[in-house]
Amino acid sequence: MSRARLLPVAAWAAVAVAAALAWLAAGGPGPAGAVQQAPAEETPRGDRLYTTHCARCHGADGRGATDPHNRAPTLVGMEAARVDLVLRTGRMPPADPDGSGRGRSWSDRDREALVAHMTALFNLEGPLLGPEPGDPAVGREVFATHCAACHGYTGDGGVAGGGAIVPRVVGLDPAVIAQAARVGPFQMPRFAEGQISDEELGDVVAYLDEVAVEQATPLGLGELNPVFLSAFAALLTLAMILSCLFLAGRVTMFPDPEPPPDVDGET
Amino acid sequence: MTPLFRFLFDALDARLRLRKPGRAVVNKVFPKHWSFLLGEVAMFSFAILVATGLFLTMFYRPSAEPLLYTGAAQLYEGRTLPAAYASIVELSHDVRGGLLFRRMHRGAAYLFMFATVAHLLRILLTGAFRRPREVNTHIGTMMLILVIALAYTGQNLVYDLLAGSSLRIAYATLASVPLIGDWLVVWVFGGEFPSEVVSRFFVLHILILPGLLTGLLVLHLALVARQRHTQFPRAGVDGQRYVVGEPLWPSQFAASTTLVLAVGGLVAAFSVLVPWSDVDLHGPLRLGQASNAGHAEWWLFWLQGAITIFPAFEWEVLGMTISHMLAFNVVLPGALFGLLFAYPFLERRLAGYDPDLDNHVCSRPLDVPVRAAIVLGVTAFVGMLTLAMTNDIVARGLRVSVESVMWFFRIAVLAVPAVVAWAAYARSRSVLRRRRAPGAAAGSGGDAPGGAAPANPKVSA
Amino acid sequence: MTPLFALLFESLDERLRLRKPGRKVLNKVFPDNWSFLLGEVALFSFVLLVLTGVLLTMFYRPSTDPVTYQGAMSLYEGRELPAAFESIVRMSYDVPGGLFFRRVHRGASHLFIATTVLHMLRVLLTGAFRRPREVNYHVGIVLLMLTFAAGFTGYSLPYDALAGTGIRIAYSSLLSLPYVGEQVAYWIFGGDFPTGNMIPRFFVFHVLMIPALLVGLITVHLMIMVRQRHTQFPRPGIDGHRFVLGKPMWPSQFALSTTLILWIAGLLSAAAVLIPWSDVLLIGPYVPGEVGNNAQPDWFLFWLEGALRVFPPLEFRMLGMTVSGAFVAGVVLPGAIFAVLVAYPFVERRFYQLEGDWHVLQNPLEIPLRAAVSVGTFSFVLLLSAAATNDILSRMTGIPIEAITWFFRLTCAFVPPALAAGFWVYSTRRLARKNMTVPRNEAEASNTYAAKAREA
Repeated sequence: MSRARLLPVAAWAAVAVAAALAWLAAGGPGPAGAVQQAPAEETPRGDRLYTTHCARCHGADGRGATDPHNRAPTLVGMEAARVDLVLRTGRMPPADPDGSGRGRSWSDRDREALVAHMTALFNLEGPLLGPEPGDPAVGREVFATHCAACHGYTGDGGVAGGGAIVPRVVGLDPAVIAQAARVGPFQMPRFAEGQISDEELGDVVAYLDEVAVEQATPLGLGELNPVFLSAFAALLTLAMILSCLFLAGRVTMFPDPEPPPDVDGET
Repeated sequence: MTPLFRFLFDALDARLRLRKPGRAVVNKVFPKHWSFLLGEVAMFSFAILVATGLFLTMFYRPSAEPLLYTGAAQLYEGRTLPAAYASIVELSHDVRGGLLFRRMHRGAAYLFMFATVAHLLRILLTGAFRRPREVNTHIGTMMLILVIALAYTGQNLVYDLLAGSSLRIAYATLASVPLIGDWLVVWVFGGEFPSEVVSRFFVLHILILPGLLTGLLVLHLALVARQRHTQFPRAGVDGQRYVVGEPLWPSQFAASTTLVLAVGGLVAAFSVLVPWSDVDLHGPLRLGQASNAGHAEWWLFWLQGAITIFPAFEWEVLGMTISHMLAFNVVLPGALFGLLFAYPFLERRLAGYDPDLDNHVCSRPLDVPVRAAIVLGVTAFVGMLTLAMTNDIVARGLRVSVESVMWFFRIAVLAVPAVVAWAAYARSRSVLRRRRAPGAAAGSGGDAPGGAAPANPKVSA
Repeated sequence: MTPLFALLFESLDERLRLRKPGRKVLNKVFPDNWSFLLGEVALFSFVLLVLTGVLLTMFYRPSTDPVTYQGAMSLYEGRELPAAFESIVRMSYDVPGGLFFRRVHRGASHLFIATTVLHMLRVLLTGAFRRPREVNYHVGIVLLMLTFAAGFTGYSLPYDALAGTGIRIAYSSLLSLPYVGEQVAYWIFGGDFPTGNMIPRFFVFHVLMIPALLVGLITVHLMIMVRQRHTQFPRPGIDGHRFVLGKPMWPSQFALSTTLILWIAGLLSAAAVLIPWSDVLLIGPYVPGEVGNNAQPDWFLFWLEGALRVFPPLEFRMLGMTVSGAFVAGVVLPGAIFAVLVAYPFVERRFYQLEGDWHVLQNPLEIPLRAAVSVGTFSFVLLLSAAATNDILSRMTGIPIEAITWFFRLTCAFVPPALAAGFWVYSTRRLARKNMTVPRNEAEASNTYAAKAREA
């Protein structure tokens, strides 16, 4: 083949390869709505929000700070899911200057604008997760295998030692559940695709939804831990003791000396 | 008493005042006769059943789910079996002493059944059911029903091929009851044949039936203690007012202890020599499989015998279906047990006893003609039905066709009891006539029924 | 009597001579006091437990073999579950009234154990264990241990994740026995954990052996009580040593007991509707190797769990055997507590040089040793029980769990002796104030009481 003919073929091949790479980089094929590539968009709204609430600690350039009084990490290249998570759970901006406590609850519009803005500015990586609820039966098994050790059999939470509290996960937003599993905030480990697939995350969400609506009794109680059940057991026993007091008709344990009754006893 | 025992006894006696009741218990009188020990034999075999049973429950798995058997039995190594049957194979081959305990359990069960029936026959033939002991007799009859139920549920827990056939028959029997048959089936079998039935039978066999049996046993013994044991007439002793026999301590205690050891030893010896319960070659229960020459256990032969020899039938009456299963598996035993319950009152009417008089003295089997006829006749009937179940073995052994054996039994089952009843009646009448005849005092000895010179007007012969 | 009842009674009486023993039974005297009803409540809860239990056995499958659940509960539809758990799900969702009877059974078990403990506390505090009643007191302690065993085996039967963890802990406690640990664990469990024999064996324990022992020992307990007569509180003008004052069995006590059992049944039914007593349906089946946070046993085992949590994880070798913290906390400590309870009647008798038989109850605040030992033992058990909730407390207060554990370590070690000492001092001062000593025999006690009555 002559060089003149080869050039257009090579050019089209290069374009095709570049397009394929770009398509793959954009997240490729996936279940609709399960995993969305974080939209990147600089907006005045996002800019205003960032400057007002975040720039003081993370810096206008998002690089954070390294002095001992400001431990805000750099936002450049951080996972979009992590940013979305801390905003959804209200951990950012923190209530206390040292970075703890929940300071603000964001509206959806504000949060989406902020995340999109930061994605554009700081190249936040990775997708945002918004799983569709799946099969709760599978979700229960996945939860029991991976999550119950810290979050309890029915997602009530618990204690993780060293002062760390494991939060209750029942009733949380599906995005929060899924993103926390992928991101692994604080002491929580990260669960990669190979351990819990995206579909299984949806199943876990469905299971927790079912636990949330579980109403085992007219009092609205669900599955109770034995400690709380012991309170009810004590209540039941107390009710029984009161019944005995009522039935026997005598309240005092050691009656005061009284005039002897006029009856015959029996040996 | 040794010093240690004395110290313990005094400590308890000071708090519980045991001396007086203790003395009453220790001095309790037990009349002596070999047939009075049959009840004790039954009780001791029940004790052996409970002891071996507790061991077996540690290894038995009451479930029909498939389980992979990996153990010493070559026949089943690496195969999937229902869990119940797998645990039986495991008990027989992999647990040290397991097969011995299984055989002892079954051997003791056979002894229990046999001794209970023999005890019942003794009661019936010696008239120990007469007033004031009717209540106790009814309790005993109920215990017999419980023993049969226990044996049946226990046999089916093994979940082998024979158990499958027997369960199918039970299912059909329950279903044959008019009006409530379907509901009964769901209630007993849990609706899904056969897997639910194992756990139901397990609960029945280890909890409900032994619980009821123990309760009735305690009541039975308490009544015997209160009303005093009956005894055979003795010359010169007013049997209606005095019981003559051995005291509990030391004589009866020694005799009973010997009996316990003998029963235990015999059951153990027979368990070593006789393969009572080896079900290895039967195989597990598989739906749709059955075997030829499959018999029920011997104590169910009387029910199966009737079905074997009489033709199957099914009648439509008033919208209900009356089948041969209903007739022979429900109506026949119902009628027999009904007769048992009614018998004390029936004999009182037939033999003309005074309804207000108590009786504490046994009579010889042939002393009351009506009793001899009915009891021996019905026993012969049940015996013939039992034998009828062996028709295929008889046919094979004698090289006769099964149909002719069947016809023989059809006639025998009705004719033999009638002959036996008539013969017993006749013999009883002649014995009584000879006793009452003047000049026959030499032959009567001291065996006159009712004892010598009853002084208490409230008792009868 | 109605004519029918008269006819039946006459025909039985002619044969069994029921009149005289019947009259004795009907006239039996029951002293009056609300605390004497605690034992009856325990007995009636046991009756309800047996009745609901027999019903539950009709549906429960004692096996851990995998079964596919097909029924109304969508969370497990089509999934494989251990047969025991599957039968529990089926019982709760597919059998009409199944969950109700499960809850009544569970609620009755809580009431049974609680009232047994309270009854024992009453006996201990009022001195009903004194001679001649030591034997009955010991029978009662054995009964208490049997109720614990029944409760533990019972809540393990559903084989849910929480119960399975509890069984694992029991297995490990057995392993911790020096020398014989492995053999005993293998022998009782039928293999290494988890075995397929566990649930069938627990079933036999829970359904056959323990109820049989309970029925037998309760009968002995009641028979001894009938023979020795119930104790009673002192009353002026009545020689409590020789006479029992109270209600006759018929009609008064019979009416009271009937009301009591109907009321208990009603209360338990209401509780079963309103309170989800351990439904365990959301917890899921036990999968060996999986654990869950927030795991506690039922409340009556909190003291054991607390002891295990609070005791430091020591392990030392001694005389060729390994003694671990689990052994000390799980075996030695409960043994010591039971030893104190069992030995106490004899200790008190020796300490105060008591004489003779006692049939009248005493005020524990006037007997220093009893006040101190009772308060000390029960506060110790209560603090250990509270220690079992250390993770719940940590979550609720935000205090790190290590701090809470140390708090309980210190309180369990120092508060019970302090309370015991405090009550000892108070009791001694009270005696001094009233110018009394601990009476040595019942005559002395009734004289003191009569003197106080005259003063009042």
